[in-house]
Amino acid sequence: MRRCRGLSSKRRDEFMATNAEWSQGFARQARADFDTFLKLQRGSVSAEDIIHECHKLQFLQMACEKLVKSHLCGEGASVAAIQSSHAYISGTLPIVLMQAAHAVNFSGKHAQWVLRHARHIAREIEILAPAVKRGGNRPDNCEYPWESSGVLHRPFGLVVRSDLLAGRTIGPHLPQIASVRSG
Amino acid sequence: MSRKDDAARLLARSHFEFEPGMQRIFRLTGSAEAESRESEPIKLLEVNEATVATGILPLHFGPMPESGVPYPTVIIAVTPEEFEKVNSHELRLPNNWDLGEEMPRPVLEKAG
Repeated sequence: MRRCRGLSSKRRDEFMATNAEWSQGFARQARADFDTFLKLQRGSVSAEDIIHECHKLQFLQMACEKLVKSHLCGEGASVAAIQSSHAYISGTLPIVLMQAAHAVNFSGKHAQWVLRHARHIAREIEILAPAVKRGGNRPDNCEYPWESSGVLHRPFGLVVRSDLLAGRTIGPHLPQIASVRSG
Repeated sequence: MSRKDDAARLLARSHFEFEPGMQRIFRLTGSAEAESRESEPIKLLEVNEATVATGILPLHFGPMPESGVPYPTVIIAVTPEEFEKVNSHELRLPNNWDLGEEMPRPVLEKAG
């Protein structure tokens, strides 16, 4: 880490991390988050340990958010602006996947099916972050309890088919993209 | 038609194919000097009813020579409502880019 407290703004800029460094940092952390999600998903932990869906999903949400932020940082977006929001996944990830599909000549009805589901899943992954509530309509998330129609809900015990999230649609694309970005 | 125009149409076609919610795709153009450069990206504004409103967020991508797009690209996705705001200049395009040619929508088979 570079120390820059007390320096003039010009000198501080010289010591600040570059967008490329931020991009790689986000990508590597995304990779680590996604690897952890996969380990939890595959049950690669002690047999006595019960891993709740909400905790698996939290790692998936974090991986996707950082992956998208890596892409945005890499193209020069303001790091400060990017860090202030969790709501980049549903707008960005489907386009990244669409470009990736074109790049590998993945086409036809199967590609359309995969990308349509990827868009839907990207939206659902985005709202797993507690700060993303879609105008108050989707308070459900994977970290904190929430109240809906006078009933208190908690993420613990949330039933989500995360195998569908990861295994068939978006999952196979994530490691490829993450490995490209993290070098 | 230039090679870059062909590549832009090819990319737009694949995006129409991938995304049933895609309503319209436009080229975005910069200054004549910028556009004359080979390294200038293909810039597409995509009006997509399936996307979420995030304002103008240009996404940059590298060249994809093996799939017929040997140029960098920039994609901006907007909702139909945001597109109205682009037309009324309530939402501004970056780098003084202007709306250019509308990409033709291919006749597609319905997804099964």
